[in-house]
Amino acid sequence: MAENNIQYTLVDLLEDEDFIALAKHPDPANKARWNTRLEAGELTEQDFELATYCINSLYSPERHLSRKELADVWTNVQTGIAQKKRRTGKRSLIWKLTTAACLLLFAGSYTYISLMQSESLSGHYPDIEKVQYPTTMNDRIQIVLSNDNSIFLKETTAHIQYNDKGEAEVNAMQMISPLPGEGQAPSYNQVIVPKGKHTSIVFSDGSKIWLNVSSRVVYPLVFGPGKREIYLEGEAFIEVSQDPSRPFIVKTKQMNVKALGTSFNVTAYNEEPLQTVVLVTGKVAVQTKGAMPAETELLPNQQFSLNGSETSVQEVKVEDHITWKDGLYIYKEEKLSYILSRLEHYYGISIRYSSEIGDMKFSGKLDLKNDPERVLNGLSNTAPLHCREEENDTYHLYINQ
Amino acid sequence: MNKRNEAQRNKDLWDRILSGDDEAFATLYSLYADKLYSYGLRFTFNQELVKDCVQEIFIKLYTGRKRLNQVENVKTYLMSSMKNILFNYFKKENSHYQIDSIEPIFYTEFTGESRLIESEQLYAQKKKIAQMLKHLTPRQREALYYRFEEDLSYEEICQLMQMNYQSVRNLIYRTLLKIRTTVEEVNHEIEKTPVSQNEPLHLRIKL
Repeated sequence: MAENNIQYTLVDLLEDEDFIALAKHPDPANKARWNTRLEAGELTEQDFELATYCINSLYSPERHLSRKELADVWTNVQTGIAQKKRRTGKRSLIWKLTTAACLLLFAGSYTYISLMQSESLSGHYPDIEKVQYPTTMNDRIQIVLSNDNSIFLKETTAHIQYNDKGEAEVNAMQMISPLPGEGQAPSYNQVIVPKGKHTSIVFSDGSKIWLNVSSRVVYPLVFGPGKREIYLEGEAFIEVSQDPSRPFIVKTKQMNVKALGTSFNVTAYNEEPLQTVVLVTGKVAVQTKGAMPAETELLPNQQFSLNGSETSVQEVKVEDHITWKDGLYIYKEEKLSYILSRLEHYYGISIRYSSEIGDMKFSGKLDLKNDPERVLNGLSNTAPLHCREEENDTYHLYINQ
Repeated sequence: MNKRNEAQRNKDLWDRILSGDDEAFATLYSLYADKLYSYGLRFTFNQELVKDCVQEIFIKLYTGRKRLNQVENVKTYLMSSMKNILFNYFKKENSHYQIDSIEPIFYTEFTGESRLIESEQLYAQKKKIAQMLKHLTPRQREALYYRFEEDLSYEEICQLMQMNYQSVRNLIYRTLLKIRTTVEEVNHEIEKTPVSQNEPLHLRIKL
């Protein structure tokens, strides 16, 4: 090797933009250039190797935004822009800008979107039961938009109102407009209410739903022709607005409740065996799913219960079942284990008690606006029970000897 | 995409954004949001903070676009926005602790994997270089990152590091000299060891 031919030292190579380009993105042109120089002895193979090593060894621990995070930040950017516009008095909605570009960005990365697109071609709604949970969930009320973007709310209660175009207002402030094509093509939103939180939603047709703690509802932005369908997990009180041409169907894992214009309460927590429908006004038909599907029509003041595969209908005092939406639980001859599990959900606490206590039956009214300790001690008015807070959010309920 | 095409594309996008094209704005977001996030995380581990910064950059860009002039270099404009927002935040945070000057850490890692079966000498040199690179100052690390990772020119690095041309050149040059010294030290050590252990170079470089 002709040492005196050297024109590129190690440092020269590291300073040379063309060499950096070769090390990072070799192409036929720069390869040929540097091969010639190597063969002419203008640089040593060792320097070549070491320089390439230096340039490429600057390994960067890249941290990336997930697609979901990327979409969430984008939603926040739009919200931020909309808020700034509002402050400056301009009312035009930025949401229009999400349009095609946004869909372009995120479509395809979501199998769900493509699923809906293919379904919309055939003119059918995709199965509402099959809408997936969002990937991230925390202790906030969460609105999942149909492009899988999520809005998290800081408040403990939320009120969401849709108009007939599928535009929504959250707590009378934030506007969410549908993406283009939404509303025409069937697309679902969902709301997830964690422990200790409440949400009410007015749907595009004017029907209203109060969601109790630990509940989830999936619904279309705008109801299609023929039927109005929502999917529910947890507990909800629903006031259906009159529309005889479009029955309102509340689907749950184990039953469907079909109504025209009425109000009723549905309890369908996945982890609890007892599922109920209480009719307040109007008329509903409850269809149970499973091996022996059956349909039961209810009259006002009747409660339909499904426990495992057993069904029953009984007269109830409806106020007992719907006052939770005003922060009141009323029980009549109810097992304490059931009441306590409701309280655990409501406050987001855990309660320790013996099976002896769980089997006690309780009637009375619990005012949930009080703190949990006071509510639990309130039980001692009817039973020899006492409650002690053991640590944060854990309570011990025991028999007072 | 080579540098010139990228610059041209960015310039076109920028012009469209200034003229009110929202689709161009969304495209710019999709091109740079993640890159900015990744860049911001070299100065801090606080992921939420960096996410907020990405958000702020794009909100400011959109709402202030009418006042924005032509930007020569969109990529470095976005990167320096990230750096400025972050550093302003650090300064504000530091005011609670009364620390006068700050120099946030610039996180990079150095690894090296050889594509060749290499000699003992080359292996030793690489190992030494990797060790040495770990002990660079944050500014040296930052400069090398721009140069080797981001393919930025000296002018672009000046803009991001707010240093003049000569200072940037010196900073980088001194770092490169350090690399050379490391290599020479290894050569020197090997020359002193018995010949039997000193394998000849078996290198074949094929481009």
